Amino acid sequence: MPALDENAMLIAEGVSKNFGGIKALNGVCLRVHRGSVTGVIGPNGAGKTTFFNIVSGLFAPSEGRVLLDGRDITGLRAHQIARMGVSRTFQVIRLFPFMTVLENVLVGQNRNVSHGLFSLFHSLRSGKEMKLKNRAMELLDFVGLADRHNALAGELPYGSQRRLELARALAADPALLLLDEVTSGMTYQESMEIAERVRILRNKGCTVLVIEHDMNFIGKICDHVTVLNFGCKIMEGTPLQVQRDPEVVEAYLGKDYQ
Amino acid sequence: MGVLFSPVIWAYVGINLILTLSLYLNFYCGQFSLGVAAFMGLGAYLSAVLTVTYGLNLNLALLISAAATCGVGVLLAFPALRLKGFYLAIATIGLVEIFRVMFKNISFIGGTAGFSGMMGTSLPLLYAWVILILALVWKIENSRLGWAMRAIHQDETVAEMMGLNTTYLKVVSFGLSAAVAAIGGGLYAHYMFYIDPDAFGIHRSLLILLFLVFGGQTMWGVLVGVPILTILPEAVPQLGGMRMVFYGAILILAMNLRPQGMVPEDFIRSLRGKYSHLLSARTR
Repeated sequence: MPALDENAMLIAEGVSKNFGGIKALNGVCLRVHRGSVTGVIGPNGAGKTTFFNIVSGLFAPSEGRVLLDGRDITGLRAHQIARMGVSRTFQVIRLFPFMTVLENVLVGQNRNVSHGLFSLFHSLRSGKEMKLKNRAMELLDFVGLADRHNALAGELPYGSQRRLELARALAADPALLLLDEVTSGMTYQESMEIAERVRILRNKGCTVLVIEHDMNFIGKICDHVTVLNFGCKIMEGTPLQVQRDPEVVEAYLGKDYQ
Repeated sequence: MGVLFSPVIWAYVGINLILTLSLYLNFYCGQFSLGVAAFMGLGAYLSAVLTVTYGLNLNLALLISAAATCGVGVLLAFPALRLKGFYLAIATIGLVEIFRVMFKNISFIGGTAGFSGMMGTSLPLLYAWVILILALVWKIENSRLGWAMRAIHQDETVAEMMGLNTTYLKVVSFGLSAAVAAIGGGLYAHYMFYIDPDAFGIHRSLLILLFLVFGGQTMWGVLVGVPILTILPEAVPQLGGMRMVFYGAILILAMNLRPQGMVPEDFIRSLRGKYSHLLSARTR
């Protein structure tokens, strides 16, 4: 029976993932409240991205299950999970480099939009498509890329590519947004701008799960933080509690650090 | 230049255009398939049997054989499309060989001796089909289906995570490609009056791959590349047996001077950018 919890957008129950002999995740339980911003932190190799890959359906967990909005999504295919309202960005930028900035966002739209065989009979100049295009331009405006909408995605500078990934993820009007180190490689100024965007999204009712190394960023936007180390959850709490926890400090910096 | 007035050469151009567009439909969705000769052969034999043995109208026969070949393509897509890149290419080479040997061993369609008796088609009919298929390809490129296929071409995993059912889309591209190849094969059979299994070997697929890469892997590239490579070897009859040497030299030269092909995508983009003010006044 799915655990009924009106407030939980995402519940992970004892999620494990083995790659050969390596336990990338070991019985991770996680509860993400609706409308919250939850951070997932931990040293490199802790299993953070693996956890995202399981939630977004890139692979199925070896054990455990994942519930989205009370529905069991374990083992569903990635495109099905995406259409249930889970969008994500990638740790290493993965845009469609030879499509324009605008086309990248348009392809990301999947709510009430079909990309199947019958889309051949729908004109790209129809009223519905114009609305979708306007919506995509609004999102590009939101991330500050509207003036580059005709450029090839692969031609954008690094920071802009990161922001385009965010716009593409938002194109699906996600209920749950997964941000995988969205500020990595950004300047302080740029990452604070992203933090501001995330706050706006949260106020609009979007639930956000972020992987981040920048504790400053985490402190600014997260209500709740979960810490992973060697595939296990070692701690959770508010950003402040987590930063002060000796076990967390040890995971990052080693035992002798005082 | 007398070759330019020969209807046969233009029939070859038309048939090659259709076959290359078939391969292009697979490439567009990122599938490196070389099965085009197999589906061409299936379409050729099916339509020939339908018109000769059952006395069907040619266009009807082409449609039926295209639908049947599309069905076969979809069935074969499920095992084939689990493979990616070169592995798919090699598997589809195997497919071509299986079909060729199958044609050889069915006595009903003449076996090794081939099959004949097809009524001739005409150049206008052939080019009507070319235009129809070009329209289909153009429509695909300018639809959400086309965007989705390009997304799969560039990053299949991400396309799937963006909510695109990549398996379904790849099967669609495989099926459409098979249907188009079948029409090319049917027209080939009826223009040549005679077909035999060896016309549908892997060399046919490779020739079509050549056209596509030479053209630049775009629809416009197909339209430019296919006529050049089809007509060129026939334009120098005085070379006699050395014609294919000339052909090979042209290919080596072309790949050195313009490896991206005659009309690659960025070339089309730059043209579009240069003349966009003539096309529309939409600015932002």
